[in-house]
Amino acid sequence: MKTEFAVNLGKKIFYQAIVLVMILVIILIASGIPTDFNVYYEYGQYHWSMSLEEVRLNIFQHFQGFLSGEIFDVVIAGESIGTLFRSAFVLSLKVLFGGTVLAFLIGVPKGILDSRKRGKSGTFKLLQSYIPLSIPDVLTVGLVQFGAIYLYYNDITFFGLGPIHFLGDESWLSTIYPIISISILPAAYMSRITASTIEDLYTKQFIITARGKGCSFGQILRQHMMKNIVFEILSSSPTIMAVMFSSLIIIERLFYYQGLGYHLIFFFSSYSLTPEQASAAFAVFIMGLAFFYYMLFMGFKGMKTWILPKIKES
Amino acid sequence: MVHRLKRINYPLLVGGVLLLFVMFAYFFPHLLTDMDPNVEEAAKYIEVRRGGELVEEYSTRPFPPNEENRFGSDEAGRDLYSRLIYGTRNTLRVAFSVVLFRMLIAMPMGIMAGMGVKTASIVINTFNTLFTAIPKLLISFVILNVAYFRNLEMQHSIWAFAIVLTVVGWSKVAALIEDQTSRIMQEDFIEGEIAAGKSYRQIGSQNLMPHLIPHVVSYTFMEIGMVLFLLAQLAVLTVFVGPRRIALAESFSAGFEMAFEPEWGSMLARAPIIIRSFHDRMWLIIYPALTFFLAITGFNLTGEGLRIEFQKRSSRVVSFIRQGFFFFSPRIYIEQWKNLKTYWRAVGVKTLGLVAVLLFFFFPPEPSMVQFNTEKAFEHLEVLTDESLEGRVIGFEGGRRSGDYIIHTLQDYGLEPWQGNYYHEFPSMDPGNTGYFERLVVEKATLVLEKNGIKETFHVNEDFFLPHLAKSISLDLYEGNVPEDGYTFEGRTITYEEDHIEIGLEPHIDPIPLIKAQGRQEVSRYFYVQGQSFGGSSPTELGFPTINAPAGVPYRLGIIYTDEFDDRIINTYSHTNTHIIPFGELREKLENADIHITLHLDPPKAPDYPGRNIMGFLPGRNWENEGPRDLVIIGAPYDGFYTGGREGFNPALSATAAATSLELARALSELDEPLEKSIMFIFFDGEQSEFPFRLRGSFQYNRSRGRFEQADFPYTYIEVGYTGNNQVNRMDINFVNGKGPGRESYFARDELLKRLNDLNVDYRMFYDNRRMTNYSLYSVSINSEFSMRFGGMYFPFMNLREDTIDEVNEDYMKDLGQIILDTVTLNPLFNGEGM
Repeated sequence: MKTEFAVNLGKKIFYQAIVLVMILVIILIASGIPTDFNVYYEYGQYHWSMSLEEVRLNIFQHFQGFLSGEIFDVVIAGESIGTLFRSAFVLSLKVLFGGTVLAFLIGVPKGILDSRKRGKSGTFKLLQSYIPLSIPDVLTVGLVQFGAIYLYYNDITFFGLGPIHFLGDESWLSTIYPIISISILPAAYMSRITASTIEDLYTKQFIITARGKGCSFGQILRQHMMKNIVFEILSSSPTIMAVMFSSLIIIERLFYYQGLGYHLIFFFSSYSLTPEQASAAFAVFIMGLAFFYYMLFMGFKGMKTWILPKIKES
Repeated sequence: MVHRLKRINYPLLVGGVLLLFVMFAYFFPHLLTDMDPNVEEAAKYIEVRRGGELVEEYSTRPFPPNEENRFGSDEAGRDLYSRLIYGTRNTLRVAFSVVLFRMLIAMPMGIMAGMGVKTASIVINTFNTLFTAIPKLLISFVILNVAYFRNLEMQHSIWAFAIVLTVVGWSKVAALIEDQTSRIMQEDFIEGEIAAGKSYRQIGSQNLMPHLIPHVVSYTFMEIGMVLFLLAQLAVLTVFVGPRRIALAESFSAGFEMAFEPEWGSMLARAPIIIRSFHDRMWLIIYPALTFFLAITGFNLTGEGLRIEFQKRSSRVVSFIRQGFFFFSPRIYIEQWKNLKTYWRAVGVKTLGLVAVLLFFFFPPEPSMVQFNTEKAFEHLEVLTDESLEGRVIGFEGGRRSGDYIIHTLQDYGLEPWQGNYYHEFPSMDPGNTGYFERLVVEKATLVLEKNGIKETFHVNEDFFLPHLAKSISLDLYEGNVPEDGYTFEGRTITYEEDHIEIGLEPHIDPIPLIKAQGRQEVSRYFYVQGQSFGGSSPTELGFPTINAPAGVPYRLGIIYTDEFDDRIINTYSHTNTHIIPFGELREKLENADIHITLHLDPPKAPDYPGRNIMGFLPGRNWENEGPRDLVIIGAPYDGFYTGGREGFNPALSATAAATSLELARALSELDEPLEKSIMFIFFDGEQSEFPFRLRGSFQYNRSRGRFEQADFPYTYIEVGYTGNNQVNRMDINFVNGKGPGRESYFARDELLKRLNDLNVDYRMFYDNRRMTNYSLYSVSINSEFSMRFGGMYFPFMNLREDTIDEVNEDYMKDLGQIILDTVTLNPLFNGEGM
């Protein structure tokens, strides 16, 4: 049994590793296409800006650079790409982690409040959890910025901290507004998951029994429901994570917070870098992001598929 | 009462109300605003509330919210509210297209996967896995940020977005459908159908689909919300649908791309910049973001509301959808046809509906009021390209006679003189004016190379070109001081650097460094292209430095080397220096060092006549009105390049604009009823010129006569460009917005696009000011309501040996002429009907 399990697990890991390598190869090919490769229109006809042979050569050199490690030594504004990546990664990680924690702290209590404990309590409360899901990132950031600007220009501090500038990443305080912005959407998701989990469980026999025995809602929540809520949230982590990663790019861009997302867009669209620098930097960052994202995603998926069911069973 | 309130499906109710408003804006934007979303206002007095009172204050763009602009304006001074309303259609068209494409792929794949087809399941999982590692936003940004996609016309841009966003997003929808299909397939009734012997296809169409469709409807609404969300994110990364143009320094903040057509996403593209001064300009972000929010909320809530509705056992909506499935089933329709006597009513309703749908998609376009006759245009072309006219050069005999031909033709067509005259003359020579580059003709010039006692002689137009003659020569011509034996330049080549060869003049003069041209394209653009930049904006590789020659040495010589050079005719212009372009054997020899050169020119010929812009007028019904009388000005260049002395050259493309315009004049003059607006035809002389523009007819018109038209008459300007040859398969159209209130360029352009589609014209539209290097469009459009140019302003094959009348693309000319005629006669903003 154990051997069979180990073999199956090994096969699955191997398959995922192959998929990851394929994805990284595809990314490397795509990022190896010169950023100035273009189809342009002139005098009634379309023309390629460079030959396919030049593109192929560029991709080949890109692979060489990556496999030899030279790509990490390319210097941009005095720093190597490897160094830039490390510092950007740390900044983004702070926002992602902080955002996740804040989303949990907001979303779960909100979901508990939103839940229709009796199934026939109407659909009005659904509005409260669906409307935040519809807020585009730019509006979230705009509203947070609005508040941040007001606080900054009126020199308002919190517990001696601040006033916090509404843009940039000079100090650890600069992570606060991005964290707040990135947590709104995941909080809405978690709230929705929490509410629907409670609604599902509320009609289950063991809950009815507990209610019948005189347990308060708080007791039922703590002793019976919280575990399920956490499980459901963890099961939905891949979806929540996808949302957060997309939002990260937008939020870093709008707050000028120089994490991974900010740099990716900068490398791709900046005119201050040579096409070679931009291509190399973009490749390193997107490979790093893809690898991190994929590992995280696989981790959550593995947890959802194998670990959580076993914990539930036990 | 409370019980009733609890029964209300609030998500469906709220979502439905929001969608109702959104769709109202989609179909009837003109009922929600009467402002043109494209009109740009630079500065004006606005009324704002200060301390509860309405006060008037001066403001420049972007205007804050005020009484006229409820949501303020964008950075171009365009009303934000009207752009959001009109932008509803463009934005939702993208979202609908994306979701439609996704559903077209996701439904069959998801159903197949849900019914047990392993391959479909593997494909869905693979795509999902791939786009797990790479955020969809990022991959969409990378692909759609390619310059090709950024410059597409709106419809093509929507297609591009639909395809790209479908590729990255269909698998998620397919996974949902797969999941739902699996659940339905596990129902007892399906097992019963399988036991009854039905095939999977029958089960799929008869049993699965009626149960799946309600869920698909719900997914569709929520998916539209998700796509709108993604569009908002892409917009922040400056990726949005539709054409764009560069904001120039004379407008406001410079050097960025702004959207031409109204579209929600485009209004968020500057968010990263605006957010830095958010407190001053927050309306620029908040209103577009709120619009996205309301639409996304509407679709999400409607989708969720439908999902809740479908879960009800006695749901009327589900019954309606299932009945609708039955109602629209083709098989049922055919069966009912077979039993027409019984089902005549149902068949009648369905057939009428089918006919209505077919008519909607295939309704024939409005026929043209008047046809463009390409044969007649070619008759004019034959005359204008007659060898005796020697290329129709401004100020020379050929140019004069071609102008006479145009005048007589306009008179034959019954066009009236404009303000008493059929032409307006301007000097073709002004040597004292450094901005004047006169045309000159050099019929004979030789270049003698001497090395090691051996002399070789080369001839102009056979071994080298003479594009420029020094201004001082032009002055001599003007004053009648030309030496009888012509002009001689002498010097010696000296090797300077790897890429440079110097030629000295007299020993006491510093050598002029000569710079090797990088390639033919730069040179051809530099010299031979009408309207392209020259002088200060030329690339450094082609700079012609002037030297501070000692007094008494007025002549200088430069040699330009090119990697390739087409055998073409060129004009000779007066210029700061004298230049030659060697090719073939001469060029190879000149690249060696230490050669003695002697260039000799026979006395050049100067223009005998002044330049002449020719005008003909067709009064419209409005001409007798009191008050402002709208005018349509149709302009075309008619001069060309000198062909005398070059056998085998008879370029036709440079005459196509004038030939087309003459045929337009005929067609419009023969209308049974005059148009509401009056039309003035202008044929510009001297347009084959170089920077600066002062010798051009359009420049002369604009600074003298044009000022009176532009002050007295609101006018629109249409420029007739050159027809392409048989290699050109797409018409260039340049559209220039009106400036100032009341200029309805958005609606005019909308109608123009519809007509182009009706006529199946393949085109590429530009709004980029960089394309306005055709000076006539640039200058005459400044005070116009709006302006358009149809056709090319230049083609690289113009004036080559292959540029002949046989190579002129007849279909291109036909399309060009017909679209102009239809614009003037059918477009409500031109024919006086108004919008």
